[in-house]
Amino acid sequence: MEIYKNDTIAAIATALSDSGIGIIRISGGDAIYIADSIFRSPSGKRILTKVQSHTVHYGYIVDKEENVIDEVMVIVMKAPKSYTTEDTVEINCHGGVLVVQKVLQTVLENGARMAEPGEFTKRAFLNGRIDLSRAEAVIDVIHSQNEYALSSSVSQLKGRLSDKIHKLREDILYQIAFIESALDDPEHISLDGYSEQLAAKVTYFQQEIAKLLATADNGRLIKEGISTVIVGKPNAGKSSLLNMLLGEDRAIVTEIAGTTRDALHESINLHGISLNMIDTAGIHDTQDVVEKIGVERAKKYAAEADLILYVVDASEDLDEDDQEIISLLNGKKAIILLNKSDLENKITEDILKEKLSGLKNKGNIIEDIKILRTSTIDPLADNSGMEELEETIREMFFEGELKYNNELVVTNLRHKEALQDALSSLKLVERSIEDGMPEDFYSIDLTSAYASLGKIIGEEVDEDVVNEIFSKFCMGK
Amino acid sequence: MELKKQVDVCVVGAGHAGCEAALACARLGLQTVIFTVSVDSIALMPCNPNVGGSSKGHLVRELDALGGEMGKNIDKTFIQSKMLNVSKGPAVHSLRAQADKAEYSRAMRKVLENQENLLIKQAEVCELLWEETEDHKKKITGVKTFTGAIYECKAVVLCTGTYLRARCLCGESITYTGPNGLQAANHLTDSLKAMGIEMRRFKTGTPARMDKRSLDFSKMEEQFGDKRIVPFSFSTDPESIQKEQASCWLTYTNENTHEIIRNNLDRSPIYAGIIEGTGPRYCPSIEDKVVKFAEKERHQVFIEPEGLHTNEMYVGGMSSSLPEDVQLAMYRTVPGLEHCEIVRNAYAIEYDCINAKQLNPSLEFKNVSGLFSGGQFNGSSGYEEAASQGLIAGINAAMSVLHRDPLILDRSESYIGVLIDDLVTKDNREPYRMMTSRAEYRLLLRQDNADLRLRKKGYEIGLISQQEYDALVEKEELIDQEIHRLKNTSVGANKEIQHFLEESGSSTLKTAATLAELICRPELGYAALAPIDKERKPLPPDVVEQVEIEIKYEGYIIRQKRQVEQYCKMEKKLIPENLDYDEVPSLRLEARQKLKEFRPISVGQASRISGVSPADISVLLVYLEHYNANKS
Repeated sequence: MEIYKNDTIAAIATALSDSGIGIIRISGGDAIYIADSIFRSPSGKRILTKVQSHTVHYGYIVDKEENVIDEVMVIVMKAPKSYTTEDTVEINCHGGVLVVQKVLQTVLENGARMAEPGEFTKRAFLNGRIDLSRAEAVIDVIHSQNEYALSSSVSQLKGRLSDKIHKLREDILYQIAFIESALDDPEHISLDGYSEQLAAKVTYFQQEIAKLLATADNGRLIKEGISTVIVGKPNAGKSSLLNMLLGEDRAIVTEIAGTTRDALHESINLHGISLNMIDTAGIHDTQDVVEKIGVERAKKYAAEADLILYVVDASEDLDEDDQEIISLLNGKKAIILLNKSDLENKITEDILKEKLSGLKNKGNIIEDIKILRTSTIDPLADNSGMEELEETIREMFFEGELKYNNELVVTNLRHKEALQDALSSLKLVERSIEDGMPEDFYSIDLTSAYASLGKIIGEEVDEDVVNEIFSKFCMGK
Repeated sequence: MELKKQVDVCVVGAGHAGCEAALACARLGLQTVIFTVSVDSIALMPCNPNVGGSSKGHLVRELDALGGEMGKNIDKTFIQSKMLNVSKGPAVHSLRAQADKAEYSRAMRKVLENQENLLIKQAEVCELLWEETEDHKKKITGVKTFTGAIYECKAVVLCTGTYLRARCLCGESITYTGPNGLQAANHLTDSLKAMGIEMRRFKTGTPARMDKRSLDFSKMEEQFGDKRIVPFSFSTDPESIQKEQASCWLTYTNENTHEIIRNNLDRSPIYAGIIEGTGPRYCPSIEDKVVKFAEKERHQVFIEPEGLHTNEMYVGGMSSSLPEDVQLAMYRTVPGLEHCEIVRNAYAIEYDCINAKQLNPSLEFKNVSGLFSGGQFNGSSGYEEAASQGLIAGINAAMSVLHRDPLILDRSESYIGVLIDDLVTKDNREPYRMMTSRAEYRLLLRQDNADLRLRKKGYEIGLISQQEYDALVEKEELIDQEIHRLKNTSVGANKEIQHFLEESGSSTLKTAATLAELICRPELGYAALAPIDKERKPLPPDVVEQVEIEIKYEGYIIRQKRQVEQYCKMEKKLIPENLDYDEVPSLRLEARQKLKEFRPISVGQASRISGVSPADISVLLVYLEHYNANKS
């Protein structure tokens, strides 16, 4: 349980976006010391431990090799006159998701810990800064943020990554249970020759986790871009649209194989804005079982999306399937692309707007949904509409209609931490085997690895080992 | 006119839990009565003829360190002894002894009979007497026996084992008796229910006993005891117990055995659904093993003597509730048992017990002050688990009468702490058995250091003598001095040392090293270094053992100690007894229900209740901070 510590914590205090300013807040006994170790004045000096409280300083954040990460303004607030009543430092960076993250990472590397959800507020409260009458509100904040972090981390992990962690945990648990059952019942279960077997297994576990960590480094476990789902009827040109957006002039950040057979996930960077693109199966009324699953998933992705790109084949009349898709747009940010604008158009903006106005929506849907004309035959053609599409997305982003999700970035860093913990536990198992330690030592660190991986998918150890022993191994007596 | 008597403590039941509870109270100077349905069944071992085994051996050692009797009693009466897991790490070494059952029982009875302040009474307790206190809580005032006698007292310890409304099943035949055909206790359950105590039903079983003369040992593998016997009790002189030992025997079931079982499953009360109680997974009947592990071609069968003065042999690994005729046919397929004669049939037994979540970690009922319980009544299984709880329940009954603080051991200092915390915090659905995997800090909770961990507490309670305590303090000093010396004595890379290392199959030194560093090498150890350790003074073997373990496993031990520090922080955050969880905002419904049900004493304990999430704990911490601030 690491909830009740008084160490130094840090987090991103502003909404993550590519505009404006990003603030990283550090609080705790070492806050000023940590900030001082990474901040340099314009003349390259370390000054923060000497400055007065409630002053603002201009300078640079640097990494270990003294390379400049960003140009910043730093505000120092000494205890007890700060929100948390602890020493607090706020680093104002230039916006930009990557920069803000990099600065946070540097702060963490220098001794701060990632703040728990609501932890600044909790500290403010525990330190008497907030009136006791507000205790209830504080508890609600902690609770809702915890619930959110958990639900988002789990929902974002659906699919391959989560399967992988489940499988790894299952394998590790089996090894623990085998060792433990032999310890509890040495006359029935023998560990002769087991060390060599386990050594091979541990190497494999380490490789698998290293692979996951590599994903975390370049692609992120949880993709923190704007979740953008492309929907439409079959053959409306969804895949062509994705391919055009992914064209050679775009940076492909990463490629995670489809979490399902029917949806393709791609991450693209549109002039500095990260989009997680999900291309879905065409939505139409079908009796085919496999196809049906694909359609259901497409609907689910649409429901969870930050932005929906609805591709309409403008050369065909709208039908009931379109009506179904339009209902998915209810209350969502969306862009409708009247595709195949090179062909004779049967659908006009007016027809669509009429359909949209029929929705009993949550907001003024006509304003929220933009309609563009596109042609996905040739991206370079003047009438492709790609530039307009990009411009529209950029506008939505800078006007704040679309936002990155702070929680996801945080969750992502936590997952990375957990994977690293699991990896170091497995290294200890490997060392114990090499050192010829007795078998009971292996299960101690295997259990730690099991617990660390559990944090990612929100599961604890509890009675798992005992249950596994009884279900897999025949105990004596 | 009813008989009426006034005492301090009444202990109900004289099994392994009851004996420890009664002895603890009497030794602490309290007038104590121990009730049993039969004086001849004091400290009876109705199932396996052993004491100890993996993790159970730890319990006995801890019990002994605190001033319990089981360790001393088995040292007097064992007929074979073995240290299990010696090829593995020191944390999982575990002592197990074969007991001479009759002798064990007789020796314990003698201890009880000669204990000052203790009265043995053959009577069935039928009713608990209580009153309501000013704050509407129940408070124990005495017990009433079947004959109407009333014993007024300040505390009661319930150690009813498997006797409450007991029912034995052997195939289709059912008898309403306790173990070994002893009289069941059929009345107390109603009295407990009337007090608002929730009862549940558990089941367990035991294999057949056979006539030694009908067995062919030439078809079995002989199993010997250890050459050098280690005593259970820290007070027993090892030299005094080196003796000739009896053998056990190993044989196996086979496909024929399994076929007979499979063909008769419909006649097993468990599979036919006649047994309603929940049985233990770790102690499966042979029927269960054959069904659940169908791929296993054979199962081990241990034939163990029940004592030196009897021909009865215990058939370990083949407990069963199949009918008599099937039992005989099944046993006779096993090599060596072809002509076996059964003295006592295998049977299953069902009994009333409680869900221990109704108890505080002191083993006192949350809702009835002065009422304590221990052993199988609390939903555990095993002699050692019973004795450990009996000792703690007895000590705490005495502490409550004496108005002293209860003894609560936590998970970081003992297996007993793990056992009790698991019982009172988790929703156990089967008789609970101790296992080494249940102890998270087992590297620190070794059987070899139980005295260093717990003797001081036993001394403070008053069950460990001044002399025993002084011996402990001296041992601690010797260990510390020797570790210090070894860490600060360097040997140079000279000719003699290099030659010694080469001879020992160890790599030579590049620079000087301390003796402690050399002990850490897997191929070396404390004893091996004797030739190059010139200043070494002779030390007792138990001191050497601690020195070697502390040095060899230092890295691991330090890591576990760090984990323990974290753990202790949460254990120290106490939750007020009368906290109203309905007043705590934002707890999830499930957590609120569980917390109200279990009423944990600390945030640490709360965090172990299933259904209470880290977010709930966070909420609770903030609320407690609020609560304490308002109070002060």
